[in-house]
Amino acid sequence: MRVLITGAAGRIGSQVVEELSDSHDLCLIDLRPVRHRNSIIADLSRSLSSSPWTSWFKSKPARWSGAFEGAQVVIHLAADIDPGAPWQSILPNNIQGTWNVIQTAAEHRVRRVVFASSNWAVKAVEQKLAPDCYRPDGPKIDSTTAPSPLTAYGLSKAFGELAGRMFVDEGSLDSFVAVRIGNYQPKPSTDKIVRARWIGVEDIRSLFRRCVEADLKGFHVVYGVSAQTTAPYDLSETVQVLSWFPQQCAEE
Amino acid sequence: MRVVISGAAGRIGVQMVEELEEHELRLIDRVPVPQRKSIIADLAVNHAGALRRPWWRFGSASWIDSFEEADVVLHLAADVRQNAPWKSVLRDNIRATWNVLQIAARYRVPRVIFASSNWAVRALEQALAPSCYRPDGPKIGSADSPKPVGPYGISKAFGELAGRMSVDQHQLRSFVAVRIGAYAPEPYRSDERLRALWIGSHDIRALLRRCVESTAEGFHVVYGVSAQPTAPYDLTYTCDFLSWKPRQNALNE
Repeated sequence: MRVLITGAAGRIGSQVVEELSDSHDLCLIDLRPVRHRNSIIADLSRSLSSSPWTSWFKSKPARWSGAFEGAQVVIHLAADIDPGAPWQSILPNNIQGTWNVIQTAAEHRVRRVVFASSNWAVKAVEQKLAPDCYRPDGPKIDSTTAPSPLTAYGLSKAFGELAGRMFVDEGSLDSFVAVRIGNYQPKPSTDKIVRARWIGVEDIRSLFRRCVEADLKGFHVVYGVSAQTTAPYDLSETVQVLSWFPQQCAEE
Repeated sequence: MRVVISGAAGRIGVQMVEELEEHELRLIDRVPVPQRKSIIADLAVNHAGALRRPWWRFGSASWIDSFEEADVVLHLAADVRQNAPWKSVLRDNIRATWNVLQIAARYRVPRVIFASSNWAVRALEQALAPSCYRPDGPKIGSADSPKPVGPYGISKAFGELAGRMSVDQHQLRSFVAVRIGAYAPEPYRSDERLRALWIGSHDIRALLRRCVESTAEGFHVVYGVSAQPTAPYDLTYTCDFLSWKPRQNALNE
């Protein structure tokens, strides 16, 4: 399958690139070059036209949108990933950038967009349920929980989910998977609450592989978290939609 | 009460300026408000410096200062074209609404009333159509979360989310999103859907007055539509929460 990955040089991006590179035809985009790989260097917040400066040098302006041609799946990871990022950075990088990516995917008839949403998209719900939601038998946040952000970053992730759902409702995308990622780290944190939201390398890789390869239609919200029972999320729909189950656990 | 009205020169804005006359009004719009003192400003720009009048225009303030000691902001300003392109919606609706919420928080304005739209739940309406236009059909209620159609719709959904966030962060005491149907002085004759969504001048004035004057806390979604039973909305919560009832009816006028 031809898979386009934005933010391919990022923390999760580099893992997903390694995971998928043997089995899929990848096209990589990032602000920075991706190590040891061919990639497109582009700022997704600048819509589709390049600056006069680059077009003066090149006969054809380098449009990152052209790379979407022929792609079956877009994995959109590119963002300002700082949960405390100021609005001035969130607006171009996360809101404008995500709109451009989804819009361009729809224009090029890409079937599916997989979007890196975040636990920050439902932070207000988590706070309301805390500390009960960290108990194994406590109330959990599930895939039907509507976004309730608490920061500009969380708001931008909620926006991405809304936009994706809208494109699916309009029929311009076959499917959109919003992955509300917990806390991705190679090793679980020592902080109890951060550890409850942990997702390890192996799990995030297999999760994104399933998001690309699973046979599904429509709009879906899934949670990216490993198997610890303290996680504040109910994984039943994630497991059912993707036939995926986390193999790692922060509590071992 | 000190009431800031953004978009005061707009279609709904001019009605509200008349309606709320007994309050101390501060009017903001990109164009002058006819026969009133108003602040001409672009809400998408929130650097006070860029907006301050030059020194020789002594006396006119920036829009930001007008939030000082306000009791409530009625935020109507937006690109109101339902087919507005993304670029314009990003600037005039998303950025401007964010700025309004930020400045309201900075000046500790306790309440913001936001003109949301039927477009924020239009996908839901489309999924329920045509039975939602039947008097006994399934209706869209205040608990339904946004399912927008188009850039305009998503900008209104964004405003609702941002408002809920301001309340959850305790930056605002209350935020009321008014999902306005189709406002026109007279009911629509030819378009059945627009007639079902219609809200008349009398009703929108009374409704927004109730929103401005209500002191309830928290985040609330209400519907702005007149009393025709063909409306796809369930007004139970709107009427309970605001102690308001529509008096007009598109089918009788």
